Amino acid sequence: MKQSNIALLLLALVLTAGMVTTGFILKKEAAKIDLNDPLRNYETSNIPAFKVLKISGSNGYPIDIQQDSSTSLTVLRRRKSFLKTKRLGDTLEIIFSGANIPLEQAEKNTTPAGIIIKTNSVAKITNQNTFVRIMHFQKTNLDLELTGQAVANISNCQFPVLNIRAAEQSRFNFDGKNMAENFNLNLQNATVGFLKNIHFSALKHQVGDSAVVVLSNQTLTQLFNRQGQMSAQPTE
Amino acid sequence: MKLINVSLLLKRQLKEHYQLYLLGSVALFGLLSLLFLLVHQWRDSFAGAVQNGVFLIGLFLSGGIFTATMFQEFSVPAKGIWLLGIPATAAEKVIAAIFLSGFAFLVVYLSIFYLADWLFVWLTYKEYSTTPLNLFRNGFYWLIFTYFLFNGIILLGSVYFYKLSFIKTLLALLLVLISLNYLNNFLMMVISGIENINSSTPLSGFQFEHQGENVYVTLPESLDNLSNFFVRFVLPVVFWGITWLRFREKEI
Repeated sequence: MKQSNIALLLLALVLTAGMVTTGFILKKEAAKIDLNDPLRNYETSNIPAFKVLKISGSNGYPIDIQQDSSTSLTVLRRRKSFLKTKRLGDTLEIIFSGANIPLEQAEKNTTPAGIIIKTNSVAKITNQNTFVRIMHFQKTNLDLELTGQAVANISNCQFPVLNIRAAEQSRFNFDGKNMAENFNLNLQNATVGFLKNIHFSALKHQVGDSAVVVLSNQTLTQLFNRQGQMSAQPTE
Repeated sequence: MKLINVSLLLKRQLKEHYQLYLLGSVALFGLLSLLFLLVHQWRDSFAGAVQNGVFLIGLFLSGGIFTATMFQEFSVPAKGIWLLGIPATAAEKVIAAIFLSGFAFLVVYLSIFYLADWLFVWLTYKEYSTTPLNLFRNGFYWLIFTYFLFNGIILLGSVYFYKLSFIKTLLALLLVLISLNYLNNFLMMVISGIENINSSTPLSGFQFEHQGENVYVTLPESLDNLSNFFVRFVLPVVFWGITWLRFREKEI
């Protein structure tokens, strides 16, 4: 038999042996997965509490931020290599890279969350280019800063004070039942804010450039109280 | 092995084929521009990392065709004998072919690609804020090592098959990949005892269906790195080595 054929045969044997070995290792890994766990495709790690959360990267996978008694970071196992975290004092920086999808499609993204962040201490979230879903925040103030093509979806939250600063092409909306006692909006450049499913006692707004605020009928009604007074005021 | 011989072989190749290479470069620029035009025209259907897609299609298509021409003399017996008769060793001839079709091609390809990409960005930046492809984003550059593996396979095919070596190599590669996929799925099912495995990647991981959801099983990080090292660095060298063995056997 020619040497080249022997070499090809050896290569085939090495590959087969590699696949068999991989099979046994993967069997052990599969046994570690709890199939009853709804987060079976995720890996969770407990992290120290943080006040500022800085997120950047791609919008291919949504990033869920939920209020919880403990602080943890859960990542979709197959996207683990795309996640980088940095810690700077009370700031947690998250870079979640990957392919981007068009801005219009990002809002309708039904892909499972790439990262789930649970926190009880965050006071400020800055989001650059990613799609974050902020859920179930109760009785806590939040400062939200959106830049680039960031998208934020806020659902079922109650904020004494909610500040949203949006710039460039970013956009945000609300789902479920949301309440903000004091709602401060600052929209610049080509940003879009959808004010639907949000109740507020007072709204201060600063809308510049070609930024757009889309109001639902319910929100529009809120803006004019029964006495015909405006509850919304532009800020200086 | 003498470097001067490798350099002379490269000079011969370039001197004999420079017109074809120049025309090929223009054609490649045209092909890449056409692909960019298509993905831009139907941008709703081509969402996501379109520049990465165009880069890979161009690289593997043009790189494969170019690599297949390295030992095209073997398709005609008289020319094959002439190639074997060139006063240089088999190793020198194979190394010259690897340098030209693997490394030099990659440099030229990157230049042509970025020229077309720059044109695409220039035309679309204002409306869509397009930025040039960043090879280092998300570790995309690692796919270049897959090109070296592909290069090794096509080179091996060009010394294994006499006629239509590129087509035959692609068909053989397709057959091997399909067989590997089925064999790996079968092995994973037998070894793990999980019956509903619906997809697997050799030396990497598998996924199985559980209550309508896919569950992913992957190698631990250190072993995954080892597996990636084998595929990206060891396998291309192995294929280049077998190409050299096969070339040497032709001399006998």
